[in-house]
Amino acid sequence: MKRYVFRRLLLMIPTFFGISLLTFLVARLAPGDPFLLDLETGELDPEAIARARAAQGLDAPLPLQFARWMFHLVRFDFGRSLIDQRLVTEKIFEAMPRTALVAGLAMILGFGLAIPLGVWLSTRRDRWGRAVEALLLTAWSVPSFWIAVMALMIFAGPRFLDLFPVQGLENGGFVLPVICLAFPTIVVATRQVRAAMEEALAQDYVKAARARGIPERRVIWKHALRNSLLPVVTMFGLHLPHLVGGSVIIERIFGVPGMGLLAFDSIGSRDYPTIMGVATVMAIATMTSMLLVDLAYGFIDPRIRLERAK
Amino acid sequence: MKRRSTRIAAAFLAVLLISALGADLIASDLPIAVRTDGQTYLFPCITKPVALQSRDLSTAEWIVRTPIKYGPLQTLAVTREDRPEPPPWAPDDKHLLGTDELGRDVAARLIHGARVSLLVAFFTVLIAVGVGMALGGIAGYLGGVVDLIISRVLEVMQTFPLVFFLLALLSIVRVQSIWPLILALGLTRWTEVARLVRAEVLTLESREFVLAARALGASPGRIIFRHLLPNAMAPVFVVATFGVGSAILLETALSFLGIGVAPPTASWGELLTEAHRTLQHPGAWWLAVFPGLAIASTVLAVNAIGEAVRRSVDGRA
Repeated sequence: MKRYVFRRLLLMIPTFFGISLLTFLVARLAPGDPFLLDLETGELDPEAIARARAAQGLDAPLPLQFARWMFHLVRFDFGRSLIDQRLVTEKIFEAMPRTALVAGLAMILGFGLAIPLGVWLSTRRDRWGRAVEALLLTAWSVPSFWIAVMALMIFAGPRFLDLFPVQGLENGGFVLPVICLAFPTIVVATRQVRAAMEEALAQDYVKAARARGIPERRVIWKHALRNSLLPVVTMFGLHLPHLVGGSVIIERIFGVPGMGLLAFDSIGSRDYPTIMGVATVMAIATMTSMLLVDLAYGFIDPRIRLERAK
Repeated sequence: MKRRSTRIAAAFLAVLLISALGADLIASDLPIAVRTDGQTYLFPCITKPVALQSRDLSTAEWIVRTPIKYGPLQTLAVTREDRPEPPPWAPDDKHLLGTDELGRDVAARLIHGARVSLLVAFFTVLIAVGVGMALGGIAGYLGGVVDLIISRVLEVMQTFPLVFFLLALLSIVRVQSIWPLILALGLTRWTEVARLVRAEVLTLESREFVLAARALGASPGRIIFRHLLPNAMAPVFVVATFGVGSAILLETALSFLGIGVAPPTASWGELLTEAHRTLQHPGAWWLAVFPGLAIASTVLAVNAIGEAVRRSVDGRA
């Protein structure tokens, strides 16, 4: 077990390096930099700009800048924001809990609804089952931000139902963003659960369990469900990037100052240290969740050995 | 095509495609044909001759107008005594789906937006499938270091939040053209195809026909592109069909973040974004509802066909 984890952690290094390089190149190759953006609005002496750039190390050749960045990174030093001079780590620690709250609740809500719904769908081949299925397919076809805009229009603000605040997380303001973020998760996960359950229910051991007179409810929820959880757990891990991507949009609509909004704003203002910091933290979070999922396989299904048999 | 729902979806998409391609014939401020001042113009709505552009066409000898008499960018389409208040105007007999804040006809913008959105979705998937099949095939057949590198790149692309990447990439190029957008979308969405094709190639490469090709002295390139890839197409079709649907949705999300098709060009995402921007007009529901319905029904039709393709591929295997 220890050896497996070690090998996985080792394999994460090239992936992580690749992500850092990608972010670095994309951010730096963009024309314009934070100091030039300043120039458009206020008058600034070109020499002062050159000095400011030199002070941030932005005049160094790109490979050297990248090396410096990686060197600071291993000490968890992301530097200071070019915009408000605050520590990037501080900004991230401020934004992270908000995104973690919204995305975490969305994940719980999404999978919490998807599993019973998927199981129910796999046993219903009648008109009701087909109707719910059609409903899911429809829900899948609607832009998620459109749902968010509609929800905001109907449930927040004085226009129709004044139930939630229009911006921010306080006073129950987290309810709408969580639901809107969970929406695509529910649809995709339900379909996944249903497909896995249908496969499991066709297996011989289910037939055997029924033949032994075990109540149908127990056959479905214990025998079949346990054996179809594996692909669902896989999805759980792979789903994190989607959730993060979705939170950029959701946080912008609902005015949640989380990681998504931080990423959006820092890209807009070419705040390199913040861009790199946010991307790094997101990449670490995703890779960790993928690792945890792989480790969870062993617990869920003892037949899967993580290490080669001796 | 067994199910009725699949046939309806296919018919809907065919109609949509035709009207998107012929958007200029359906909604334009210039007529289909007109005779004025002793001169006959055919299809000025497509050719947009300069001579007609600011001429009063009400004195023409005869005129054949497009079904919707407004162009997608034409602001304040009519001066209307019956409507003293500023736009957006609610739907009525002149503007069937209402107008936006600038008085542009929503129906005209929807039809012209369909062309842009479908174009973006189609070419995005084309690029994604092309790149994904090539890289997946090469990685699967050659194996070794090549496979290791391509698989690592694939993992990086999958780990990285897509929206974040596109946000950074597309803030580099802000041009009026839609091709940078298509290229960026296509180059970020090839991973699923590549993963599928790689797995498929791994199971195919030990088959007799590959062995036979190799025995005949075929080069690796020939084996990959002539023998392996055509046999790995079936699952790709499924992913590609669903990919069109999700590309349409992604375009709307990018428009919302301000990095999609640049305004004033009408795209479906731009229309929805406008609806969000003009939410302060209480009750201007037609701005959000009609583009939303158009997108939802199109993606639903595409996904229904995707389901049909998946069923037929599953049944074949």
